[in-house]
Amino acid sequence: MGAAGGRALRRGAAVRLVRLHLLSRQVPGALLALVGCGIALRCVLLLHWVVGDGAAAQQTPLLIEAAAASVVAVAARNPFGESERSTGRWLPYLRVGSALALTGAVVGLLAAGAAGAHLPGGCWELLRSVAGLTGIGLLSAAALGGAVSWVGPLAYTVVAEFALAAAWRTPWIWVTRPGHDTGAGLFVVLVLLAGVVLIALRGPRD
Amino acid sequence: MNVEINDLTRRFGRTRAVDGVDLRTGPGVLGLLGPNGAGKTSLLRMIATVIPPSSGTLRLLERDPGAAGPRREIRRRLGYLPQDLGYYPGFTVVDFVEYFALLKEVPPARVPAAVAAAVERVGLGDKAKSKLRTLSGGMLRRAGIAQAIVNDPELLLFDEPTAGLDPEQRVEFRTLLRDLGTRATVVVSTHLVEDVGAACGEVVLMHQGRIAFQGTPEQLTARGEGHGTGDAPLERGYSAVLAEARS
Amino acid sequence: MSAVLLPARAPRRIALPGVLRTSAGRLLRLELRRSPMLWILPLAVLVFWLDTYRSTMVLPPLWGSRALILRQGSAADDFAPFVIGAAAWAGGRDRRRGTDEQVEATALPRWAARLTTCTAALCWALLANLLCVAVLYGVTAAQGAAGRPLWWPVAVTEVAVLAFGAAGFAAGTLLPSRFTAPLAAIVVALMLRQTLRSGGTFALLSPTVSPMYSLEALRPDAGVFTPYLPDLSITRILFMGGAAVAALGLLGVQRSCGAIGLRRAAAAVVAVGLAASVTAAVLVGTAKSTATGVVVPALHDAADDRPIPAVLVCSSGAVPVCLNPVYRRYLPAATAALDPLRREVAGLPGAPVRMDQVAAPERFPQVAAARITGTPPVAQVSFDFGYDGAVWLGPGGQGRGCCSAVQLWSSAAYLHAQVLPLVAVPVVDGLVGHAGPAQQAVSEGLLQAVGVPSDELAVLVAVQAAPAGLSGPGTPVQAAGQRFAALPAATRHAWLTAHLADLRAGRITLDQLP
Repeated sequence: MGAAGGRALRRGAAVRLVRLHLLSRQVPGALLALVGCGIALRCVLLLHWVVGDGAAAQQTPLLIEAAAASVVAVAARNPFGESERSTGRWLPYLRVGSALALTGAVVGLLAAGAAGAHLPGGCWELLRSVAGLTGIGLLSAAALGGAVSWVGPLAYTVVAEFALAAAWRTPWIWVTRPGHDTGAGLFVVLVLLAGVVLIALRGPRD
Repeated sequence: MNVEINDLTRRFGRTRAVDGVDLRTGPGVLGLLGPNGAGKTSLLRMIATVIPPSSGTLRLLERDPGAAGPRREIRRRLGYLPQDLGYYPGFTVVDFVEYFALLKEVPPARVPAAVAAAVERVGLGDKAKSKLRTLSGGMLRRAGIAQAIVNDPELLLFDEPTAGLDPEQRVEFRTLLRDLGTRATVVVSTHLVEDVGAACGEVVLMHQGRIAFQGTPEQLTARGEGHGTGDAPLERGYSAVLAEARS
Repeated sequence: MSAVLLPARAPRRIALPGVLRTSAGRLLRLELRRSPMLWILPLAVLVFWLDTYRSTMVLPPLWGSRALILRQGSAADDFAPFVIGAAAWAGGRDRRRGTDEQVEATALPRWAARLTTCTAALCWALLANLLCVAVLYGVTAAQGAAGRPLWWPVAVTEVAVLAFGAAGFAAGTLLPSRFTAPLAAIVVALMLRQTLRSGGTFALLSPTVSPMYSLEALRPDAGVFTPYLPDLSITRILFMGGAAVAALGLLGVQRSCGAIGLRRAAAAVVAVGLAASVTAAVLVGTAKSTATGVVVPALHDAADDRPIPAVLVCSSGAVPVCLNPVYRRYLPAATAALDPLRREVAGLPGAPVRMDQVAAPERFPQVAAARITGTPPVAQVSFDFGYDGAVWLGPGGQGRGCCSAVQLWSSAAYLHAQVLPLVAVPVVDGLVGHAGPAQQAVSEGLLQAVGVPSDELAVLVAVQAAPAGLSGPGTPVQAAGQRFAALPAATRHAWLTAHLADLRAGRITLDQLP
């Protein structure tokens, strides 16, 4: 097998590889769950479970964002184990690609779910929360394993809910800071970056 | 030399799974024998670049797997069947093998042919479109072998490859091993000494993380003459070496 | 010297309870050792400490107060997502590891195997939650908390944890997917949040309660003046216990769970559980909210309405302040807070001879309230010693008042500002009246003399709709009131002693005031 020939993936092969990778990560099931999250957000807003912009109003969307981030993190699980880990260079890109694509889907679906309704903090805070929680989920996947990576976003959300109620103002609980806050934004970017880099290079723990 | 190992050690906590192993091997089939817990799988996983050694040096295909670039190159030329085969039950046999072909950067134009060949070589041609969840244990094992050989690897690592195969398939697999060994370095970890006798040109017997014997199957057989227990000559050699190592 | 050989000491073994030495017990022991609940629960304990424990410990060391956060369902809420997630994770284990057929092929019925795994998970969850509550109650007891510990909220919390665990396990078993655990945890968390913010009758079934929205009165004096009403606790236990039983029954209804007889038994268990939950829902539909708690007629014991007899502890001096013995430690503070008022009214005709503490009649009691009744007149005073706001927002939060309850009842300045006006206004109004300008002027003057600033008086009248009239700025009434307040205390007291009966009868005009 020629090395040069192997390095360039033709479009058809690339599409096939991506498709198989996404299937093995149960991405279709994950997308279905994410659609469910979007519908849940819509229902919550239509039923007026979210009123105003206060701490209580922020908690409900945060829970739905955590559910969506957990789905992204759990989808990182590698079903093939060591056979896959001992393969070539595409794996890190595939891992990052599927994680970021699902994160994008989360943002899109939740934004669609909130369209035309009042969401505390608006779409910018939604993006920030989803990015941060996904970063935590990916870090959990790398540390604990893909299948139990939901523990990270869940634990963070429970603490964040308390922080909201107790009016904490720390950047590492970004939901307690306004959307334009630089410190909270920076923290979210760092968490997401760390999660993505770790999941790319190391993959989820088996 | 496709595999060069010097004073290789791997610890898991306080346990030394591999303890100062030295090994050099080129093309051919190397059988890795030893009782449970001897360190065969740990050694194989290090050669598969899945876990790093705790100490010692390891060179594979004349490259250092500790560095990212060379490791990537090694992995493109590597085939690995782990002891516990992971699979996605929703994949067909072809999906499964093709996925690994693509991950191992088989040139795209060659992928369909390589996949078909690998699937045929393990005798799963008639099950190519079957979902993995519908296959028997032996068939799954063969699908695992197919994914390992799909990239025509220069270094091939099999951990208990014949577990679950029927006698006919085992015989065919030994033929496949001999064939693969003409071009590549094949390391086979197994408990079945008859597999080693039939397919391997060289044998390494491990005991408590160390190499207790290295030589040809004939040399191992000779060690058992007049000693050891077992029904076959190779088994007697195996048990004699182990008894010596334990004493 | 001869060496003495000692017999080798046998390794010390921990004696196991008898039940754990049977085969079912051994299986349970194995499940206990490998339950994922074990390593997820530390997170729940951490959240419990952050939320329930810290929020509780800033409340005064009174059993009624220290149980408030528990009564809001905080401990159950802190544990819920982790218990559900871990239980769902444990429930999907066999499918995930591909051992379901191995387990199915054993002699032990599948239902029994599942129940054992579930029991192990629930045991850890219950144990952890009980330990957390035990620490909370233990520390409270060590601080010499007055009153009696409330056990019903503890029982509700534990049954809630059981129900969450059983429901999570059933979800994980019946819907084995990698997404089940996180989604089940979040769905239940969402439902709990919503019931927390719902004021409906059926929301009372939820273990999480907000004093802001719930029909249940979360009073810190629960169990002090009248027994703690267990009606709602019993209904909740019935509801959640029924849900737990139904979930456990669901584990045995699948075709793979064994013989038809066993599956029918499992279905019967589901039916019993559902019947219990439906009964609880019907019962809660008949519930009535009262100041002392929620009354469920079918479960209500009339004996719980009888006041708990108590010999009040009183301060010395004129117009003694008398408190329920549970609040003994607050007697000096309450007496000091009311001292200016006591000095002004002592000995006046119709003035209260005593200030007796009673339970606050309102559902959301103020920091203090008073009214004069009886002959000889006695001021019935209520104090909120245990709670500093309708909604508890955590250790840093503030409720309705200036500060936390502990700060309030330990600071003379806060007491003077927060407690005195709330008692002085109704007492002075009851004593003087406010029908005519002269009465209004004397009331205002007396209150100013007591130490209630006129601007605060205005706020009190506006907020409480207090009966005292209020004069406008620059009016003759206000001028007369200021004049009256400026009199020497002895002169004022002497004038009131002589003219209070005429003043109340409306026989004194503004011009006749000193």
